[in-house]
Amino acid sequence: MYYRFLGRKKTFWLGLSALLAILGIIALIVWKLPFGIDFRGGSVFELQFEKSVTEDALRTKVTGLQQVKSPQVSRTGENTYLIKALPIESKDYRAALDELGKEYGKVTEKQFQNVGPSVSKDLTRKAVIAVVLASLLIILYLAYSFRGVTHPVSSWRFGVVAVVALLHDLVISVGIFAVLAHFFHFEIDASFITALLTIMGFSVHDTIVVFDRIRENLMHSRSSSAAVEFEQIADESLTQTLNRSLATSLTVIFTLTALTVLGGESIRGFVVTLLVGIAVGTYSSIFTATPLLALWQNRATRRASRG
Amino acid sequence: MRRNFWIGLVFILAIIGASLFVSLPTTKNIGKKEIAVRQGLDLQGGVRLVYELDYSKTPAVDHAEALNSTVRVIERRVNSTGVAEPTIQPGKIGRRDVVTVELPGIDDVNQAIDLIGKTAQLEFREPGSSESQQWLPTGLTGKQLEKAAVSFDQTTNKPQVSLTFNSEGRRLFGEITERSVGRPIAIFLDEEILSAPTVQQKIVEGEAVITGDFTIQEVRELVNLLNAGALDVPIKLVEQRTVGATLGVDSVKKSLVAGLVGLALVVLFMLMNYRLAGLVAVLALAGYAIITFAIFKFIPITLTLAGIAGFILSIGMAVDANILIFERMREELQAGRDLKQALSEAFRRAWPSVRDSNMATLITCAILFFTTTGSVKGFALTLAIGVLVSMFSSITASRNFLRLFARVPLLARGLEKV
Repeated sequence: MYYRFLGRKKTFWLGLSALLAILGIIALIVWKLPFGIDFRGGSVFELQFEKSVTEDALRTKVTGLQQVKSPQVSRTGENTYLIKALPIESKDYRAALDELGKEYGKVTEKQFQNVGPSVSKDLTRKAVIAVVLASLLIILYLAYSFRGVTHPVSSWRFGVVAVVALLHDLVISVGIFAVLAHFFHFEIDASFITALLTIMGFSVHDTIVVFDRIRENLMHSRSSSAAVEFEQIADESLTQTLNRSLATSLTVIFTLTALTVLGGESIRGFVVTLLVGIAVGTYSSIFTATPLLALWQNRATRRASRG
Repeated sequence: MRRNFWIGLVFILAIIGASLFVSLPTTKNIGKKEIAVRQGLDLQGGVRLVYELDYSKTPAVDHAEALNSTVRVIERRVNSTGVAEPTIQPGKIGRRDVVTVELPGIDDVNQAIDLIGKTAQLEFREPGSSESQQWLPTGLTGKQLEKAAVSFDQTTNKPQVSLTFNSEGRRLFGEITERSVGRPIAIFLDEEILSAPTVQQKIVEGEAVITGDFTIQEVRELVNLLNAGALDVPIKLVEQRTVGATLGVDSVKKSLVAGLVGLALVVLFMLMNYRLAGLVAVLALAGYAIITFAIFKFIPITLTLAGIAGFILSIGMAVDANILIFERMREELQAGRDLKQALSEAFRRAWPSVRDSNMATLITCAILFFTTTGSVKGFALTLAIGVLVSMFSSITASRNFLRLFARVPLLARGLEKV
């Protein structure tokens, strides 16, 4: 007994996945990723003032300060404001605080972050290296680990498909993040890269469980290489691992939802990104990775029978 | 086989017991090693400062030594402020050398910034002959200083800095004062003149004082700075992050509550879905949490908010191996195998997917760990430890627990209803 995920439905699922990925890319182009100061360089400070002050008045005052370059002011609490600006020298920052103190009484610094341009450039470079390196190593590891399977599916195909599914997950997650960031005013900080790499790990983790079952079932039936049979084996494998995929994702989604709802403000963007990525990762192992593997396999079989 | 089983069980319980002991808040040291949970800056408040070294005037061969000496000097300066548990680490941004300073729970950030950032190059200079060269170097600098101390002028009772030179400095100072009787000698700190007393007579004892309109606080800072030594190269502050302590405490409380709620949901789910076998998974999970926490405390790993998130995430991943095994057990039981066979088949067949999927996570962790710094690195480390421990708890520990349960007829019947 097994569910039909593949066969003619395969095209539908792959089409849906492609559509989601394209929507993700469009969202990225339209709204862009709001890179925070970790990537752009700049300063962020949250200040609480003794005397009451309106957002507009503060904006006018801060814009007039020569030490603070292109500031943006937003309210975060009672007489508490978040100011974002270009990178600022330590002494300029202090001079600016003195100026504000003269006007609005005692200034309490709730947080201050200043990231120079060399730091932010370095982080961006490292993030790109990390994502590329991780993808390559995962392909290599999968090709090695699935080396026993050479017939009818060559082992490196598993690796490549797993990574394609992974990139698909990343594009959709980042796209959804761009939408969320646009409407809820998140900003991307260093932890976003962490979230992306965790999604990569999880996505591959999930895909591997399905592929591993396909590998096992293939080894048990080495009789024929017909395309139909491969699809049937893949469908059986999907059915067998479905419970596990859902159960595992549910446990992770439980913990992440708890963190999203009850956890602190500062990690919310990070946790939401993970939540989205893991949901997409679960979907893609079933509806993207395996159909793609079947499609590729069918093509190869057809070509082999023709040649 | 039978004997191995009991040895294995004792071994597992011993590890969990030892971890429980380490985790207890009352355990503060093991042997001579002091252990404590270390909280990151985002949890307890504090400041993180990243300084870039300016090598523009330093030949390349001296860079490594300059970096080492910068770390040492900053360490001495920070220690003089009495901040508890500071970390000072050399690192790289691109190809440039940096030093990262983390000061948890500090009150006056600006004072610390002033103290760390100063080059603190002390120099004695004598008057030049022409207008353009007002002060000429004498060769006597902070390098020949043995120590600096706070003292008070005996007549005015004003605070001042007294300097004691080493033997080379004593000789130099003697020569300078001998040829400068009746003329002033200027004491410079970082190209700024501190004082310029007129020499009354040759000084052979190798002692001098810096007087001026200083407050006791200023004198104390100057003394700390001089005793810590000068920086070989100038440094520039390129990154600063200050977090208020209240923000940190608030986040910890919320994350802990969130973690507990998440854990409770996972436990409930496992019990409802897999019943008695679910209980085994919950026991393994408890073992997992205790062992992981003990490792965090023992190494010690600095707990940050991202680290806690990684830990909570790894709870979800830790039960995954159990889920894989139980699903397989269900299948094998449905295929008509008896409990013992179903158990060993489930473990044998689930192993490759557990291994491969965890390997993929470990690969990402390794890359994160080696290419990044700061909180991302901490997250990678906590996740990697979590994955490794989960392989032990969900494979080794739960297999032994399940085998133990399978020996008791009543429990065995419960397991069959997985």
